[in-house]
Amino acid sequence: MKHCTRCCSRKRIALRLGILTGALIAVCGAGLLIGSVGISPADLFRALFSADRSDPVYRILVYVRLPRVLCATLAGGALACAGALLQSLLANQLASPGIVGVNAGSGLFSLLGVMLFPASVVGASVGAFCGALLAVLAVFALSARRGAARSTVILTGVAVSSLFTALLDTIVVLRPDLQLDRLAFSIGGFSGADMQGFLGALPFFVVGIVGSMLLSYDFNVLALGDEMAAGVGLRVRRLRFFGLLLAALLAGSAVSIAGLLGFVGLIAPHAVARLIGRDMRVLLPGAFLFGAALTVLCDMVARTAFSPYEIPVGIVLSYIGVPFFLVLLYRGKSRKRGGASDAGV
Amino acid sequence: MRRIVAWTLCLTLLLLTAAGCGGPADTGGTEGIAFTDAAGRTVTAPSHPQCVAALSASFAQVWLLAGGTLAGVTQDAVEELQLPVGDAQIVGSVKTPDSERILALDPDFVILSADIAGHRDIARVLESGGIPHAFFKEESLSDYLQTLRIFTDLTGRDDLYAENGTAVAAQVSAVLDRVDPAVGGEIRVLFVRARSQGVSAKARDHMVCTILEEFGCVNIAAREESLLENLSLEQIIAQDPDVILVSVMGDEAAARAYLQAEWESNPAFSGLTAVREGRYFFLPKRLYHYKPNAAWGEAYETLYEMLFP
Amino acid sequence: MLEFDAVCAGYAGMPVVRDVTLTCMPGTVTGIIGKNGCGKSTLLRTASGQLRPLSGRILAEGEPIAGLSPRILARRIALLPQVRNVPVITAGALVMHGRFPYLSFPRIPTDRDRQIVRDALRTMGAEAFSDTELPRLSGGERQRVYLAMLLAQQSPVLLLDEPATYLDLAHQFEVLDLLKTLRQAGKTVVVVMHDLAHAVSLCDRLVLLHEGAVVFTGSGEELCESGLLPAAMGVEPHRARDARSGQPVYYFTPCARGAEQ
Repeated sequence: MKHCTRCCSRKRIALRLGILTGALIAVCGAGLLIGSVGISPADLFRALFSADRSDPVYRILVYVRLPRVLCATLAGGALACAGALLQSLLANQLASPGIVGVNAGSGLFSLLGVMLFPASVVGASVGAFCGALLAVLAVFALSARRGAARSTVILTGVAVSSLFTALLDTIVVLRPDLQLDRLAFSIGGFSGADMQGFLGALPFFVVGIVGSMLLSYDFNVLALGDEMAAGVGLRVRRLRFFGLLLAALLAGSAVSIAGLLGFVGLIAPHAVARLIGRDMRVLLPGAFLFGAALTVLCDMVARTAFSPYEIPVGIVLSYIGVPFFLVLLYRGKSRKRGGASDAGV
Repeated sequence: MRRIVAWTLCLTLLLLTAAGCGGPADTGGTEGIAFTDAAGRTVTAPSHPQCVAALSASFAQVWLLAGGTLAGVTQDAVEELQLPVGDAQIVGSVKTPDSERILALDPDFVILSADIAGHRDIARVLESGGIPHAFFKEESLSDYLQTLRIFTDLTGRDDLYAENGTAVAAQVSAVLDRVDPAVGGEIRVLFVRARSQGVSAKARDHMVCTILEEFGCVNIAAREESLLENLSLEQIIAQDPDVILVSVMGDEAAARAYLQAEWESNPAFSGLTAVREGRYFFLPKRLYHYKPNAAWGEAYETLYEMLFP
Repeated sequence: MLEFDAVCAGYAGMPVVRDVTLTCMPGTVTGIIGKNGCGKSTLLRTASGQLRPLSGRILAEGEPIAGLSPRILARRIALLPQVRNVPVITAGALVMHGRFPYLSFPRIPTDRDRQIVRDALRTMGAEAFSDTELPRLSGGERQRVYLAMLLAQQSPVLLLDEPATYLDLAHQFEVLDLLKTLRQAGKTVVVVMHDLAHAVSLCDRLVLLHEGAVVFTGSGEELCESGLLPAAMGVEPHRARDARSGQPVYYFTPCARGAEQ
């Protein structure tokens, strides 16, 4: 047999998904055990089962570490899935939530949320979520006039992003005092993580994940190319619309609790595709596991490395994620990968 | 406006509480003192709290002035104000305090600043953990007196309120008594804040603006809103203020270098009335950048001398 | 059976092909030929239902396709476009995509689907690389897989746009053989071709498009003898005789300048 037929066999994929699951559970466990305050595991278990709200150990575990781990899991996993969705929908390896206007839209609307409801604790989060959704809907509505072809969607995304960024800059110029809020959002992080934010984002996240898993086979068919996918009876435009909407729900739920951590959405799907292939039925769960594990790990480093001072998690993500990604990229043989367009043959 | 903000915050917090995010601070029925904080919430704090964390240097200072001791402070308390905090732990930086370390102290009262976004995040954690905490602000003498009143009530040190509060208020009113409002109304002041990267005029929400108002002086930026957005040398020349006050933020040398390059190197700048008459002042950071607290009298006095020679 | 009933088609209201009436029978290969830009691909896209005709009707198996849902349409007509992606999936998975019109939620193939995929791969001689990822296959192997996918779609009508382009000559002949296999299976095969010699040797019937209109339908031999080729395609047909089989074969040379049109 001249071709390696085993590299993506079912067994191997199942094994690698299992390893990723194990890794996520392990880093979540570590995220609960390790923090800026040293607490022995025995104390943690005792505190957890005592359920005594006045016990500082219990408070640290339940009100600080648990919400952070949960929020990092959700945000990292959601961004990675959104990235995987968009890379598949747009057949573009550089696609990430930012490319369809999510970053600019959520940035603008989170700032508007702060500006219009300065006293509200959830103004920025709700704004970020609405902004992500609005940006994507605008991109789709505009590009639908041209049949929502892939390149049209991407170019419209760039245009909408530029417009939103210009509006954002205008606001910051007129209200320089909002500069700090803008910075806090664009760096992103989990220092303000709490259960409420997590529970608020959870329903959207669940809808996003379940929806995209249900449509995962259709996304595989879409990878054939628009014309061919339509030839086997796929409603290409409708699927692309739902796909973008699901990606917006996922990315929106992530940015509403974490701000911008864009980079996870770009590299996690690639890294996972290298491990288990680009079949969306396994890529989506794989991307979730990988993105979540990476983000929880980085958040743990962010809050413990220079304790009691915290480094923004986005910076840690780049320091840890980029080398890892480059190793994956250059390690294997130079296999031809990805949905290269192939005229004729 | 501030009241609306406060009420909105209050309502939001009520709603959040109703949504099941954990009850408000519960002191377990022991004796406590109830007051309304700068966020408009009714807070009940234990009297004579033993373990207090202050997440901003200014309020840490007020707490010390009220005779309290501190178990946790932020970096700025030690590095910028060099407060005598004893063996208090550092629980992160003022902008992003470390909630985990704060909870590890098991404090019975946490002091937050209403102006810092990161403190709102901490408040949510404290809220769910049932730890008493309150927001404070200090943009004017009365804010300071109010904070000190609450703090001395908690520590039970009325004598210190007299020493650091009543006496300071008396100093200030002595300065204000010397001000002739007719003269003040003639003085047109430009107040700016300078950083290494830029300079902006300030019309309100700053203690210097408040004092200028009390002196009856004209704050140009409050009249000419366009100055707030775009402070060009051209506009300054057109306004030709009698006094220019500069508050330096961040790295002082860098901010001065910026002003040197932007303003002072221009020949037109030396032609300004304020510069010709030697009334172009850099305000001491201690008094006007950080909160003056017990030095409010000195802050009024210094500014008085700059404005009414 | 695929019927064109007075079909006008084009983009943005501008007709590219006009008034095409044509019937393609099961078990035959109909070749659509013509110069670049004469509307061959437009006609094929219209026939596949992806482009709505400006006027006229397309009928598959005697039923107008206009009202059909995409999935039902895909069970009647399969399309192999000229430009397509090469997704990173195994050949078997690609052929399974041909079963998409038959898979309802949650898109889990039945044993019957798997059997159909295996049969299609075998018919096209592609079962050996069923587990190989598409980008690792050669152009000819990949073409077999795509044709197997079309076969798995089990539609009576197959539309192919330049299936032999960009292949080396040996593989081109291979593809022609595969098309003959499809004909034997009783499919209505409509194929757009630009290689006239292949078209003449393969197709049962040729349709010559010139400036958006059908100017000729008939066998290859009739076409070559019709004298239309110099005007419509700019080539001169020459008749020869195959030395071994004694069958007539045609080869083509460019027209002298000026003779064209």
